[in-house]
Amino acid sequence: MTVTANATTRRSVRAALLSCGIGWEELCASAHEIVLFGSRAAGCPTEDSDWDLLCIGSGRTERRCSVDLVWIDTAGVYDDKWCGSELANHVAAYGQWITGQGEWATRVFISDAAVRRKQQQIRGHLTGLQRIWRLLASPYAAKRMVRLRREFQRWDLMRSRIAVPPTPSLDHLWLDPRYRTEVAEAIATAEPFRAFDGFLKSEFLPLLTGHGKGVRTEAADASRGSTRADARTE
Amino acid sequence: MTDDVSRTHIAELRDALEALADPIEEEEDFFALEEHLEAVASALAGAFRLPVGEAPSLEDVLERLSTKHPSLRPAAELATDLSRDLSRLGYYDYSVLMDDVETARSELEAELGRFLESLVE
Repeated sequence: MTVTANATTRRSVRAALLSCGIGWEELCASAHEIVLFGSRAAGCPTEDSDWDLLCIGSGRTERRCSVDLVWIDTAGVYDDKWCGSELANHVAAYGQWITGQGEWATRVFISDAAVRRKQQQIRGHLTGLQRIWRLLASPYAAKRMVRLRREFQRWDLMRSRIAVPPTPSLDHLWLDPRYRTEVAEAIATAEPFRAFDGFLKSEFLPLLTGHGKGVRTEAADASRGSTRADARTE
Repeated sequence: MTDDVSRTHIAELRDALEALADPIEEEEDFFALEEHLEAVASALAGAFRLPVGEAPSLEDVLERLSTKHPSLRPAAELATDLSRDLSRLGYYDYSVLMDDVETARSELEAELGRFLESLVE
């Protein structure tokens, strides 16, 4: 069952659109369904949070100042590719419908393809990170660790077929030491990341779980919460 | 800000640019590129003694540096384009962005390579 946005949220969305030069009537003419998602829909925005809006209809995905408009073509909204995706599952679980009914949201499932895509993304980050790790000043290492830690959390939830919550909720989850240990163990033993064993076990995981030695204390601190720098980027 | 860039910083910048030279051929490469861009930002910030407390992005670093080094202006614009495209990855099929990202990456590498050589001279 989908959640309908209340009047206050609707007004806030309209005001955000207006402040970014996007007319409400104009948007509704192209989108028969508009859904607020992300941290603002989940009630955990930070001062830097964007307004993330999923629009079903015909339009171009774009970011305009603080508004992210993500368009999905009407014809594709019941496809397995969309219904099985990370974003569709996130919107179905945490979205607030501004217009439309969201019938498609009853058909979502986290597909194997979506889990594989997340693994690919993480492998890409790991490939890049292990190459340039020694070049990063501590604040940069901290920022990248938080980013990758969140991706691992998303992967861990998705492989358990759980919709990914907004980023602030991931950071909140990470505060639980038992959860941290479970995720770290999952990372250490996961076949898709076996090729990065050396980097993960000698550099990344000790810092992530706060057991790292050496100079990158800031990175270890950041593993237990978001850095100010990273809060701006997601 | 000072132009007294040490050999160590030059070497770090060279290493970061070497990573940036990896071409974008498949989806994983986009995510590696995000890391490589951060390495360039870190190296540039270190070389020019910019504050790194909040780990400024490459576009922010280049924006700041370009006030004193106007030759970096095109690189700042390319870094902004790249950042925008990479932020769309979650919403698009990566193949839609492939050409734009690879072109911007390659041009950014060339711009920064020229800047590095000007520092060495």
